[in-house]
Amino acid sequence: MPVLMAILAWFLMALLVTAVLRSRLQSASIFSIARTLLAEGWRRGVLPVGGAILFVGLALLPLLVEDASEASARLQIVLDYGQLWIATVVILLTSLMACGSLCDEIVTGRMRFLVVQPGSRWSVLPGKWLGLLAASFTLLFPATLMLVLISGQVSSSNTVLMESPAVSLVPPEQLQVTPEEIEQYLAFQKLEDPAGWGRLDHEEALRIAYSRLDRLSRSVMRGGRSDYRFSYSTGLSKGTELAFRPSMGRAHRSQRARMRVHMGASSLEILIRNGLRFRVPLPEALEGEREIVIGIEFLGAVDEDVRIPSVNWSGTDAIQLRVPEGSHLSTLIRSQLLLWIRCAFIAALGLTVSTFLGLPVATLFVFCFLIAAAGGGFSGAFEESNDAAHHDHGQDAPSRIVLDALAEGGDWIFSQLATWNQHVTGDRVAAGEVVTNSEVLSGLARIGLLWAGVTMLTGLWISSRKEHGLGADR
Amino acid sequence: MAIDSKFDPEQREVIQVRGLCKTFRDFWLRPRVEALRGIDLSIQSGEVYGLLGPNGSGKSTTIQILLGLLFPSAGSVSVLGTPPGTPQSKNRIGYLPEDSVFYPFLTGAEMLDLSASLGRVPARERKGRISDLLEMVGLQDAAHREIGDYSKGMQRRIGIAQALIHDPEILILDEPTNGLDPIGVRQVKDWIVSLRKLGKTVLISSHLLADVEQVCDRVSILYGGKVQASGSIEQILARDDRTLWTTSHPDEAVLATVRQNFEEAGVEVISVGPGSRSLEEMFLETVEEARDSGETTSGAGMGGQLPAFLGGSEGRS
Repeated sequence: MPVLMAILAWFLMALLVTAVLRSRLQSASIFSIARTLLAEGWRRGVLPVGGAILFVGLALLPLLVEDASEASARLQIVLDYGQLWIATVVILLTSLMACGSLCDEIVTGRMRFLVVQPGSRWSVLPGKWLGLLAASFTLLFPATLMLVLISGQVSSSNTVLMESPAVSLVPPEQLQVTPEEIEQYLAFQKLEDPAGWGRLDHEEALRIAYSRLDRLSRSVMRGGRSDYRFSYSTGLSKGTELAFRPSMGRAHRSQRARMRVHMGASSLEILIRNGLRFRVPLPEALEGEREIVIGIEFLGAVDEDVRIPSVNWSGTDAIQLRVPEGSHLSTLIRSQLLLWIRCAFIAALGLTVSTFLGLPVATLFVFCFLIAAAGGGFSGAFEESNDAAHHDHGQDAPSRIVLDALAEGGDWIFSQLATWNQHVTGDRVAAGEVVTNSEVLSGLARIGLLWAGVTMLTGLWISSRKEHGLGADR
Repeated sequence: MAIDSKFDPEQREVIQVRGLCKTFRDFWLRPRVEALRGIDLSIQSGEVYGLLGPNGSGKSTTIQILLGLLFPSAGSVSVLGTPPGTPQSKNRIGYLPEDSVFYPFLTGAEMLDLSASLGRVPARERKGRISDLLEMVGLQDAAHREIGDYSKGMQRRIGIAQALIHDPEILILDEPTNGLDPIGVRQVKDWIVSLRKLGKTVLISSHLLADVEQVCDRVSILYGGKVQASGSIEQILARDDRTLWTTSHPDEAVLATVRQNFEEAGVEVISVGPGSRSLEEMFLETVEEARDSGETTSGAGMGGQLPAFLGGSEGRS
């Protein structure tokens, strides 16, 4: 069955390519260049072979889940590896086509033919970019369709992605310590213990205050209770759950403790274990609420001879609401849209670096970018050091100003690279988390328009200043 | 040497080059090759102009500067009153590159469609123009074959067709007969003459001097990046100390009488011999006979006359 799906997906891709090649969009040169690139990708075998590899890889996905007994686990594995495979192949092919197409035209002299045509110097790069978008779409669309079908095949129902909801994860507000809270805590502590806190440097005092508040906000003492406020602007929907993973310090995983959860007017006592995740459905009375407060009371260990002083929330996902929002299918589509947007940037980057670098170096450049971006941009690599700790008397020297500016620039670039990772959503989709429209719009604005736009403008600028005539007979 | 009696100051000057210099530099901007060293050219509307010179003389560099592919190091260049490389000038120039560098994965018809699109030919006219040009260059039967499968001569023909598709005022042909068979060479020369009659300006760069001699009104001979000679073909080739007569074949008695009369008049007869056809004429006749007898070929067809849409600059709206 998956083999048949792969064959059908390949033919769907062929159909899409043929439709574009035979389209009658003849009014602008940019579309002709785009169509030529697509014809190049198809007739030179990049798309047929690349597509075959992509679809065969997807057809092999069910082999990965043969050992998994639960349908939800099979679905998660297929979605996770499937999206990873699609992203890898599509981005790889896009970058190779982007670098290969332009470099080939420059080397063979075809660029001369293009550049002497009226107005085409400005339409070469955008036209090729458009062609690459079309090429990546012809791969992405059938591949996504095939992934949906395979997901249905390995899980309980063929329409599992349409029926199962995606969930939005909502963290509590209390775990986020605000600067105002730190200042208030610090002022109170200085009143209480002026000798102890007064001798501390202000920065140091702030750091200690933040550390204590953070620890306090993330723990519930035995016999005590903490209230957590959750906000959800569109109102909590039916099926919302409170999910939490308590940490009980050195207590063994087998040790049980009791916790009482207060949700609105109702309360519920539950048994918990160290480090295990629990889910509690919200009462129907809270459906539609935009703000709720959930109280968590820690009652201590079940066994009397065991002493567990507190329960802690470690990690960003230790306590959160899971609110159903849209279908799993819609979130998968949004995630694939984000992948297409990333392809758009890779296409722009490949084309731009190919205007001044040869094929091997240009491809290497794009791969280096992908590695750096996948590393999260190493954010914080250029963080400013504490003035008190490292005071440099030469910091106003011109050379230091230049170095500082370079460091700031590097920091900015790395922090921008982190944006790439924020829009890689495949693992979240596999875990059933929602990818929102605002995330897609944010990806479109930052990666699709800002990054790709700036890169394309740079490419156009370089291209407009480049001589293409290096005739042998001169 | 500068002989330029065919230059007509009343005619519109479509290409003007003054003191053009081009120096190629390496990555560190050090001068590498001084390709052009002060070239002056003036090409008028409706003439066929030849750029001649050995390899490395600067012909292709000059053409590529006129097309905006290379930027001049010094001097001024004007094409149809605008700097080279502007959309206004490019829209009125058709260019046949020296090498057939067209997309090998496109069919002949697709290639012309791409050229028409890039040349801003209105969509409603494209189909007709493509069909006319394919017929003109004799490739109507190969229209849907990929260019990569074409012979070198067929690629040259599709190159000529793409240069004409947007009905340019100026046609720049870099080695136009390169790779063509004698029939194709003859056709190209006929097309050039027809284009001149339509008021088009044609600039030809070629090594084949006989071809240039037959179609060009004026030529410039380049060497070492400089114009060494320029002027009309007749004046460049004229010899004041020789006269050539071509007559029907006389008998020996008549020849003897003529020779005697020349000697009495003090005119030296340098050579007298039988008339002969050129190899080109003989070849064309042979192929024509084979075609008439029903022989077929997988290559280019006979080709035909210029299509009607090439109205010439005079007929432009």
